[in-house]
Amino acid sequence: MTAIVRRPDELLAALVKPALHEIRSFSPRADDTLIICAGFEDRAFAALKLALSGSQRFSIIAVGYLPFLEKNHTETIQAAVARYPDVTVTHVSYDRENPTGFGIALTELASQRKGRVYIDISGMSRLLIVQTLVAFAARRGGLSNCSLLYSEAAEYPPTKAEAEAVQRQSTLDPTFSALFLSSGVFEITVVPELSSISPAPIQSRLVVFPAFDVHHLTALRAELQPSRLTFIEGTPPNEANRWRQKIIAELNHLDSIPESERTATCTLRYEQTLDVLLGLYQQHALRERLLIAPTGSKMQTVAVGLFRAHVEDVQIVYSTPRGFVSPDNYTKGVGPTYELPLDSFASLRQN
Amino acid sequence: MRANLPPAEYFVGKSVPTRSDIVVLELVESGNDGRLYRARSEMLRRDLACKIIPLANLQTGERGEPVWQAEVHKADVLRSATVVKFEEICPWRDEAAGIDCIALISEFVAGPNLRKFLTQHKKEVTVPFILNWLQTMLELFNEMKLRGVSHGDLHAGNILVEDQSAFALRGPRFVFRVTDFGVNDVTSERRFKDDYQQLADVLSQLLAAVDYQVWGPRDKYLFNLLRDHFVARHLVERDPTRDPLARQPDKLFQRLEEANLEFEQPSTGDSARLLSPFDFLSCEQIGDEPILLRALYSERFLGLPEIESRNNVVVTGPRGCGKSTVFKCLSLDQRVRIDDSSPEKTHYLGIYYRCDDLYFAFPRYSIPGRPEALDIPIHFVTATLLARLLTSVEIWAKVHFAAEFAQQEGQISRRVWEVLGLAIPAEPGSESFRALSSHLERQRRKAAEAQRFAHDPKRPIAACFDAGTLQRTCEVLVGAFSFLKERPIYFLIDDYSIPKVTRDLQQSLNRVFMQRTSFCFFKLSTESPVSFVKSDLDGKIYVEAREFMMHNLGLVYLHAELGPKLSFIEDVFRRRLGGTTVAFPAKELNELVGSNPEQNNNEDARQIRDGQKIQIWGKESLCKLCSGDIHYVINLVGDMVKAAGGAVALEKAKEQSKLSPALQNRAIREAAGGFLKSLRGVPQHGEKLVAIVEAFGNVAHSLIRHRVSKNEEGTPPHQATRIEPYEPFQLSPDAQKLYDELLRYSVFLEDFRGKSRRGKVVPRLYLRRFLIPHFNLTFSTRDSVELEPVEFERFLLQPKDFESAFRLRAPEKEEPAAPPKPDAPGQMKFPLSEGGGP
Repeated sequence: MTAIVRRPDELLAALVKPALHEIRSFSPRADDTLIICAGFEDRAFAALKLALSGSQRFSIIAVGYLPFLEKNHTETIQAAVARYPDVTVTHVSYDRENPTGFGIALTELASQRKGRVYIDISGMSRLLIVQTLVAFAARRGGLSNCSLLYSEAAEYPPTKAEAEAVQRQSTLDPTFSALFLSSGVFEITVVPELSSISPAPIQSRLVVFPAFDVHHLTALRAELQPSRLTFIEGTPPNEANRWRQKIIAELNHLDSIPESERTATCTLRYEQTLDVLLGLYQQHALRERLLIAPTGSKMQTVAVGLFRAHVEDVQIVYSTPRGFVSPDNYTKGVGPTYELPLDSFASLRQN
Repeated sequence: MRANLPPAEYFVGKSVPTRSDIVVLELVESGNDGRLYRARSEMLRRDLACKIIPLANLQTGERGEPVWQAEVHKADVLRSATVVKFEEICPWRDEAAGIDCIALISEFVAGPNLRKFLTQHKKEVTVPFILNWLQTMLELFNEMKLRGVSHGDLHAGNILVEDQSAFALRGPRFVFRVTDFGVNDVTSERRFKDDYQQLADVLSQLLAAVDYQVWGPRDKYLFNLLRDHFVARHLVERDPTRDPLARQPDKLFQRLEEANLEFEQPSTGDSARLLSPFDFLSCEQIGDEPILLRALYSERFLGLPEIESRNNVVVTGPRGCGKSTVFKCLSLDQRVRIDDSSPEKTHYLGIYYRCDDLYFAFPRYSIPGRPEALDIPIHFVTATLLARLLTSVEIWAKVHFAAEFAQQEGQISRRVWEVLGLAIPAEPGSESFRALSSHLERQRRKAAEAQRFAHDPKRPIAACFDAGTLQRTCEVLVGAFSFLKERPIYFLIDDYSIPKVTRDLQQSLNRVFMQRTSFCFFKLSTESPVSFVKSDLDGKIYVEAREFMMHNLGLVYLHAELGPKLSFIEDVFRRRLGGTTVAFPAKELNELVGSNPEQNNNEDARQIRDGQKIQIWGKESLCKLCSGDIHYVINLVGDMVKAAGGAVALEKAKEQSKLSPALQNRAIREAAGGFLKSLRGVPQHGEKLVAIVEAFGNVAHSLIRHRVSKNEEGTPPHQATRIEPYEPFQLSPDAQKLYDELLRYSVFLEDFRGKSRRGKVVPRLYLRRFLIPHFNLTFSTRDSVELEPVEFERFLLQPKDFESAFRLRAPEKEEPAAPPKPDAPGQMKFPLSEGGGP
């Protein structure tokens, strides 16, 4: 029987994906490295707290953001580790306006230690999540000995009442744009390491995850002028939050955008998004240049990162926020923390 | 299992016993049943292959008779040059040394077998390479079928890649050869293998060597087809009733030939169709649908002759004005795909390229400090454009000039390799346009990868194509094929716009795109006049009307007579209204919106002054609303139809024009709101752009209300829809950014024709026409809001302040009779008091 050659997307599709599992304790070893981001959400700090309660000797790479925002947790991190002399902290800065190559730099830094790398994405920018996963997958050994950590928040703004008020205003005033978390778009960011350089078809398809801030979709459409669109809407795992999906769709007028198709995946279960992306690739990539904008939930973004790490002939585009309305309007509190071991993905790169 | 093999070194240096002219020189490889040596015949003065097989390994009959001899010669019936035939069978016995063998003598093929080739040159295995190999094999299989011959042990080890470059002048330098016919049958341990199954196995091994993700769509398509159809079905199926191509090498060959071209054919089954006349507003939305694109493209497009002229042209105009549509429609690919590429109609070869590709490969490009890295973008673009050109020429020529193309392809390919400064790959099929295209795709990938380290002096950078490589290659093609002699090449470069294609990147690439020859022209489409850089890296300034023509489609529409505009817009609607899959209840624009030819701007202005809102309707108004942005007009009429209740409601409408004037008027005014909302979403400057245009609109409206245009008889209201600076202006960097963005999104159209009231050459800025009703203005183009440079700067940076200063709140007593004198530099002068009146 002649062996059938498999494409990278087919190998990824056939892989049994590891599941996210909740962790209540976490004890990194002396050789292990924890990568955290000093974002301004409470949950950005959750995995570090768990780690410090389970171990007093490991390494931390703390990523700070430029432009600097005072509300970021940089100082909190410094204060927290001050009591642990054997916990080493390396600070690095991620310039949101000039992010090229950061994932690779992070990989090189993390590779200085032999142990397991824990990547806490809870406070990471979406572009940074994709950059990090792609860079780690491309290094020697790939994603083996890597885990991803993710902490949910207790509350996700806006409230239903706030969202409905904005939605009403949007209906009344055709020039009104809904802004919740960010204040407009700085630019559509393209970084070389997430670019596809194979000759692409003329027709393009923008795969985008609609969000409360409608500027992202507007800017992506205006700048990229895609021929076709696929919206991957986010379905919150918690029933009580399901209204968000509907309002986001209405604010972005998804129903009235021509040449588009809609699908929905769970905001937490990344495997669903990964399957959808693989399906889109198999259905469209031969005749369309796929542009993927990771503007969805953090775990949907993880799916984008894992997808791009193995399927290289798709283009990642990112609408970088110009600024943030107010850090106070971001998520509050900390929910469960999860771990996702990434080791099984390493076998694909070896193929 | 290896068995009975004699010592390998025994034969080296010895003459073949019955052929003393043949001396064994070296061991090439050993197999299960024998060993292969390179030998040399002094008599023939060439190398020969000498295969030594122990007699014990040869097959005998039931009574021990030597049946193997017939098998060795069974390939002799084949005439295919692919087959390596055995010339002689020589016994080789040496009892003292325990040797009892035969020596099979055949020609010696210089080159590795496919197994070695795969190991040593894995990166050279491309889809065109595999296609070439499979075609060779199927041609051989076809003769084998006709003559009833099978190989029996086909595998990558007995398929050879022969180097004929030492002697071939006209034919290919590298070819595939197949050896060891019948050898499996002669050996005692028979393990007959099905040739087709083996072919599928080798094909699968070759496909496994291809890095799928790095290749273009056509190669990916062929990869999937070879894998899913040939490996998985055609080659392994034995029953022709289950697969009509099974065991039919001629049909398999034909399928392969068709596959090579079918990717370029328009899709049929699930292709996009016009469900409503208002679908597919832009070329981007139409996407890769050539038939649909053709159906919606009007040749009455204003400005087409200038684009098709034999000049380097920079085309600009508002988004949705049809730049991309025209460029795509003029391309040879599109014309081939819609079967409109006959030689009589094809006066040039258009090669379409969209700069998204550059944007993704060279994001935020800045000129590197290393001289050797300067030409990386040129290498990328040259490789990309040439790959497309060669593919297009091949496809077109195979349809219309097949004989000449087949005759010349090899020779011309060699010359192209030479012009490119690239060594011809040592593999069969490399002297073809397909191989060249494939190799150029690899070059473009190398360039993009090199760019990632262009600023890192530790990383070496290979030599790049220079600014003349593209032209020189085009010259070779145009000079070599008779059918290209009178047909220049037009490179249609779409969306060559800052900021996606950065200023530095344009300065680098302009060294190629601004070259002028008689056989190669560049048509660049750019978003706005300020999104194109008129200089290059070498410091050369490109002068409009000398090095290139600037063709602003927005201005073409703005200044065109009503007749041609109406003719074009009506044609566009005729194509759409009549082209839907379900019949639409109107076939002409007139049936939908009616005609309203008696429009008078002065009268409209007086009504506005009296506090009324004029009613805008009719096809003539649609022409006036259009700044070339035809997609806006289509969308607008679509909104009107939707507001009227859609096609079903229109069926029932009895009026001459199915859409009432009131409904048309409402939709026109609402549409501008949608544009402003989109403008607000523009990265970085959206809110500011909206504030600027609103300030202008409000000021212009106040002038209609309160100022008289004294230059006209009848003292009509002042109807300004444009800004006219008195003097050329030098803006601050912040103001310049905003100015460029206003032009980029065509909020205003910049027109350098004419002079200011002070006789200075200045740009006039016309408000995008469809915003006129939003601010309750008229379509008159006579009056202006005239500004000093400092006022213009303030207008851009502090639009609210500007509005407060310039907006009239009460009738002016009289308009200034003469143009005011220029301000002293840096002195801010406001003609109107903050309170509103002068």
